[in-house]
Order: sequence, then structure tokens, then C-alpha cells
Amino acid sequence: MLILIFVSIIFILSILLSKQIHKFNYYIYALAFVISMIATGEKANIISLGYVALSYFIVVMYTGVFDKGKTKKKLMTVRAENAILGTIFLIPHAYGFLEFYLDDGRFFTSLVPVIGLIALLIAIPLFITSFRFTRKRFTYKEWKTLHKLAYAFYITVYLHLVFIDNSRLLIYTIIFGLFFILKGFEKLKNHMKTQKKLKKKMIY
Amino acid sequence: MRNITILLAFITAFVLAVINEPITDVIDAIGGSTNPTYSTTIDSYAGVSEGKEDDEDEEDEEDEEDEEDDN
Repeated sequence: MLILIFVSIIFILSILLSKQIHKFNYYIYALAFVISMIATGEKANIISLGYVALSYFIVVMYTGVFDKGKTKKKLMTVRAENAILGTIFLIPHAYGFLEFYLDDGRFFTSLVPVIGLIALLIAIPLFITSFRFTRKRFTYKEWKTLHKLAYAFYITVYLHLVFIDNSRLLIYTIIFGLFFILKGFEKLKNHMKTQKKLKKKMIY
Repeated sequence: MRNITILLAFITAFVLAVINEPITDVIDAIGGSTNPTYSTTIDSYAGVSEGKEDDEDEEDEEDEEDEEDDN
């Protein structure tokens, strides 16, 4: 429920304050970074448990599958910002649990930390290339290809949640399952469209 | 159409969450404490003792022993 509440808050803020978030993004990153540093420590909290980061990633993920319209347009304006904020809020979660599992010597006894680490490693290049100044160094095609890694990130995040195996697994499955179904349909539709176009070209 | 599907899925997820997760646990988690709903291995991560034994009982026993020694 906590994650769904956060998702709703981030979703509403992203729509209502899209222009402001986009304009003052670096100030917001700085603020998020300070909050993350405060949340990093031995005491468990909603940030170090990873709920805030996951909520941001769910919003980023779903931004891509909304119908074309005002909602999608506003969400797309702050998609990069939301992804960067999600990764900033991921730091306390990753640091805290890595420290715990390494100290405890149980890192390889469970798949949860291993898959979590893989997800983190995938997130790093996505995080760096989400900033406007690094984005400019790539051609659109290169950037787009690199950011296809986001799908691998979503899958590893879902697997990480599956192996935690708590009472929220069904909710996670609904959220991630629906995303992949919608994305699959979209890809199929686009593929069929290009095939049609090609056929038309062949006839002419 | 997709927007409605997403909305319906999230409403379903929310209903399931309300059924499965006690609201008090959600408030606890926001307040910063862990509980059966919002914990993984977090109790040991946060430095809380695990297992069925209660630390308070041990303290009480120690207090009783101290009192006996005093007498």
C-alpha cells in the first residue's frame, strides 16, 4: 500500500508540477541527494527500504505505456528527472543492504542481494546518461539503444522483488506484469504498422 | 483505453493492498519503524534482536537476581 501511495503522490506531482520540476531539476536533485544521505544509515526507513526508489521507477516505467495525450506529455517532460530521483533514492537502499549482506557474509547465500546488485549495475549507465549534459554527447539512436537497458533493469527489479517473496508479491506481479503486457502490445502494433508500410512501398 | 486499463489495475492492486496490509503497519513504516508487513531482513539490519526470546524478560530476570543478591 505504501508503494501505491508513493506512486500516486509522484504521479500527481509529476503532472501538476511538470514545468517546475523540469526547470529546477538540479535543485531538486541536490535536495533529494541530501535527503538520501540523511536516510543512509543503520536505521531502517522508507527510503533505505527502497520503497521511494521503487515508486519513482514504477512512474518512469508506466510513463512509456500511457495513451498519447496531455497526461503522457506532462509525464514525459519529467521522465528523466523522475528516473534520476529514483536512482538517487536508490543509494541508501543499495548501500545499506550491501553493507549488511557483506558484513554478514551472506551475500551469495540468497539471490535477493545478487539480483539487486545486478539491477544497480544496470541502473548506473542509465542514471549517468539521463542527465541533459551527458545526453547531448550521444546521437538519438545511440542513446535510445543504450536506454533499452531499462527493460533489463525492470526485469531484474521484478526478480529482486520476487525473491524477497513477501505478501506484496501479487501486487508487484500486477504492476510489472501489466507493464510488460502493454509494452508487448505496443511493440507488436508498431511492428505491424511498419510491415504494412513496407508492403505498401513494395506495391508502388 | 490503456489509461483506463492502468487505472483499473492500480485500483485492484490498491484494494489487494488494503486487504493484505494493515493500515497501522503502513503508518508505522512512514513513521520509521519496521513491522511484519514492512520488513525483510531489516530487523537484523537495523540492529534489532530476532527470535522468539524477549529481551525484556531477560532484563526482568537479571533484576530479580540482583534483588536476591542484595537481600
